[in-house]
Amino acid sequence: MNGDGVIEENVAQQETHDTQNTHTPQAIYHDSSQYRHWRFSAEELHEKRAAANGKAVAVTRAGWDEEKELNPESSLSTSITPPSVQEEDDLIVYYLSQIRPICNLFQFPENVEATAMTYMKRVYLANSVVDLHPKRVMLTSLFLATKTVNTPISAADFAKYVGKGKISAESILDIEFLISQNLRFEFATHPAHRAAWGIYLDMQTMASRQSQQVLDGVYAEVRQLIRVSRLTYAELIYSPSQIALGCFSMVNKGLLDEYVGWKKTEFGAEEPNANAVEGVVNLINIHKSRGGLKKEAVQDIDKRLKLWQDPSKVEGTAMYKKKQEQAEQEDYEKRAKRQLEVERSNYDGESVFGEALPALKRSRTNEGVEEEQEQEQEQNGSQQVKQEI
Amino acid sequence: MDQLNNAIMKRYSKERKVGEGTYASVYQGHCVETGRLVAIKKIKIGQFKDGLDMSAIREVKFLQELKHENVIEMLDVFSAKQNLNLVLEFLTTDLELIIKDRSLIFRPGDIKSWMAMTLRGVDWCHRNFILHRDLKPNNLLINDKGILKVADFGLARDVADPGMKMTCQVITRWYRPPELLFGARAYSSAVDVWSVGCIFAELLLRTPYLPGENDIEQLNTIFRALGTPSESDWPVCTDRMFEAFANARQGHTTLPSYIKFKDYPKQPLEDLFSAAGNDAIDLLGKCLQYDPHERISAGSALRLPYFSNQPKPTPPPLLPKPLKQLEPRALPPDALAAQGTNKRKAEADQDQKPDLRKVARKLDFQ
Repeated sequence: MNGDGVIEENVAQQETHDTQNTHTPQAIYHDSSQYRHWRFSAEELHEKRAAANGKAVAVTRAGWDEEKELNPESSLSTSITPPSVQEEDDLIVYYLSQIRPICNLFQFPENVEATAMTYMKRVYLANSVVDLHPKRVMLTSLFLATKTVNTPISAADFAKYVGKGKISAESILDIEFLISQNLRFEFATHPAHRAAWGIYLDMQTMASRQSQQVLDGVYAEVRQLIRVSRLTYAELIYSPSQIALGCFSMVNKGLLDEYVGWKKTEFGAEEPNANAVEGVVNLINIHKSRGGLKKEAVQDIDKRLKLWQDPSKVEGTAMYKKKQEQAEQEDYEKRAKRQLEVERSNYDGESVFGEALPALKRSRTNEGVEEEQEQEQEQNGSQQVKQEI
Repeated sequence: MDQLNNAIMKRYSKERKVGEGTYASVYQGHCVETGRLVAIKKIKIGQFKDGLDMSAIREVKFLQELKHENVIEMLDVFSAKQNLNLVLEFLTTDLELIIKDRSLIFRPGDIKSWMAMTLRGVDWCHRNFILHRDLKPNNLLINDKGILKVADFGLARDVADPGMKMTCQVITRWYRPPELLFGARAYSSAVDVWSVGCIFAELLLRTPYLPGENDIEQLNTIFRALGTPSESDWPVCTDRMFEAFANARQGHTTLPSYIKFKDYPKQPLEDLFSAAGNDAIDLLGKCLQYDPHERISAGSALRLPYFSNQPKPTPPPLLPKPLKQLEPRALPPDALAAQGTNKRKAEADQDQKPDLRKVARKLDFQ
């Protein structure tokens, strides 16, 4: 939250994570899940995105081949160009940019907006837009973010206001768990706008401080740039304070240099990593020069995305039918297995879960309880540890 | 993603159930590879109309980030079907059981040791800008080596930005500070320090120090014990330099739910805590300051003479241990129902809610 982040980041760059150091204040960011799991080099990032795209495209291709075998008369058109990695990125950025207007309407604080955007970018590290449509991911990431940063709203209200009657609460909640899994249940984020705020506060305590008016003006521009930075992958490569420094350097290089000099002499801070600061500036400039995606371009990608689906997920295909049958078969096997378990526990008289008999009685009328039991049995697996409770 | 999840799941065995609640069950288990004893907290999800439950999210969010000897360690998280499983280190007992076990005798060094470990854990939370908001003996768990760990982060949250409102319906009543009872919506880590003060007093007395029957009675109980605060004990702050913090720096008479109470006289803490040394009284008094800005921080408390004076804190393995094993304990929100009027469980509540009336009806994605 304060400018001390400047000092931390140089260390952060060197990947010298020292667990012995966990109790010194400088290392607190290094203990964060963001530092440990969500920072990559630009190359790693590109590889991950390309791998996710390649995998999803290949799955659909294989699905089509199989579909052709199962049903030579299939009407599926296979001549579409799959979405490229760049097109995926464009689509993701487009939906990232839709988060802000929604947050404005709900008057969510900036933290919610930043967190939702972080979640969305993290989800697409391992997924392609072919697997998960960015519109859904965007809505669920935002809904999840309202809860993780203390601005909860009911799912029904959220869906009602966002969806104009076309989006149900269920469709938002459906993938909440999936999104959380993709986030590794690491909900805490360290957004760059807070680092920028810290530097702004810090600058007000500088001996040679500028007038409040000047600082306020700089900060207002910095905030705009931070917003732009959220539409890039900067946060997956650089630390919050590096992003903040990059934005300050774009607005008023002289002021930033003065600030860094002051931090160095007064607090023994190290020189910020120039490459990182420059990298941030580059990403922001690239985004600015490309400009936002046109609606038509989005619609084109979206259209091809709809057609580029794994046939096993498209209703009416032979693959879909096959998958359904498989699911039914699995379901049947599960039932049979469950029946077997019931019989076995009748013999044993007592299961791992204590009072087996009353619970089983309930299970005939209550699907939920039955589910629960089956799961436990699976959990214990072959161990079958039977202990008194 | 699934592969990673399944790999984590296979790392642990789930054995006997040690706790049950409507929102979670706790099992004892082992790490298959190392044989380490673990507790697996299985949170049932998919039954809530708003998806993942807030307290589950809070607990997971903060335990993912906090790694400290005196904070419960979360080893892993995995999902099985629509359940969320938190793999936690297994802790054998808690401070409430120890306090209640009449067969145990506490030496001054024992209390000092528990206090030091509690404050270190709380300080670590605060240094990470996290408020625990439910500190009480029952949430201070202890492992087989006597090490105390702050647990149960279901009500925790990040320190709010200036101007943001937080709920005042947190912290179990007996451990809740007066500013929350008066309805403060802007508060700081000082709320946790008050709870630590109450826990310290409970360790000395072997019975809850400020057991109020309801929220109003709680304030009465506090004032009876510590004297009704005057304007000078808890002044209105006129310091306009920190404009943004003005809301936080208000005197108690301007707080939302302020009501006038009977004027109880101040009693010296030494009268009740006659067996405690001056250094202990000093710590207690500094934790139980009315003005949250005057209340000591967890970090500063650790540097008070009490902790460096004789007797030295007892090494954790030598601390008194109850003979009884940790029994299955009720988990929130069941604990709430079970406790009746003398509830020891804090109420979960939402912090700031957006005003839906202001939300425009029209939104366009493309």
